[in-house]
Amino acid sequence: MAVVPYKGESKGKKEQVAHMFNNISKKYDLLNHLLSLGIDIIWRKKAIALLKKDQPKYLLDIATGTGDFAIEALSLRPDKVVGVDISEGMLAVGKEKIKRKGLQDVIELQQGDSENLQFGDDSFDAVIVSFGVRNFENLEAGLAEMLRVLRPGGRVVIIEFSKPRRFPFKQLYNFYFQTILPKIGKLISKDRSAYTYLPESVQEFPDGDRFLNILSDLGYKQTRCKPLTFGISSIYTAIK
Amino acid sequence: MKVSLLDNLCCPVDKHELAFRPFVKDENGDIVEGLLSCAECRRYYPIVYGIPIMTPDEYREKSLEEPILAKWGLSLQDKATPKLLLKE
Repeated sequence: MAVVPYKGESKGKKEQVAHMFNNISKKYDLLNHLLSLGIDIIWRKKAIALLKKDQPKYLLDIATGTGDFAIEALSLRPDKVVGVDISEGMLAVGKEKIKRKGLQDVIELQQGDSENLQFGDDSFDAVIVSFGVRNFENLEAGLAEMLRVLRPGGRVVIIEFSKPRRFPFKQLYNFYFQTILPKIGKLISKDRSAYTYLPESVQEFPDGDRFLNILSDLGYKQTRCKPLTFGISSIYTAIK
Repeated sequence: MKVSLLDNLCCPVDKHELAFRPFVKDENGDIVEGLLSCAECRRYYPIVYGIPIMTPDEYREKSLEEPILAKWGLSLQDKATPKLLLKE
């Protein structure tokens, strides 16, 4: 059975994920930085640096949420970053943030479903996703849509949680992720399910070589995986 | 939303071209409110607060969209169908 945020509800995973993010959107940025001890900011910087050589002008940020990864991508000096998310709650917070930073001319937010994207074929020089692919209801369908809207030769950069495999990181990580993190998450966001869903969905996610195999099977080329911080997260890259 | 971004948009369901009707623009000429509709499947996608709502039927709430449509002088076609279609 698929891992979903709200067990016992009849709605599909995507609808539940949208609902969960609508619930936690106001506290999301704070929690993100707090729970990852601020490392998520460094991860995003590292991921974007992998696009420097390509100099993409037109980028798509899938599952943009409150727009952090789209904002980080501005270091590439693109003409436009389009951020798509399924949750209007996250987009509302993102829109305010982008306006406050005066970035509304270069970042555009749109509501959309990553498995049914609203863009024509070959539209973007690069497609980026930070901590989003784990939430796809149908992982292959979402990754296939990303490939479709990417121009030939364009690159995808995906950051996602992964499972550390070595002692003692594996043991420490499991303790933090399964015991500490859900407690802090619940305390701050008031959504009891959201931060138990996080470790469960990470456990379930096909990370490392399994993810690279999925990319290759869909037709992505030059697939690479770069583990970060003892393997807590990984950056995956591939081209069309 | 910048007008130039309209070129890249298609219907998320069948990928056909979209027709555009502007309702409100800001001082820079950017779209604040407007309506996109698919010539093929006739689904509509509203632009509200400058954000195009491009999610397929099951992620939309008719009750939230009805007042916006009413403001534009439009209404939903049939309450029974899950598709989001406008009254012609």
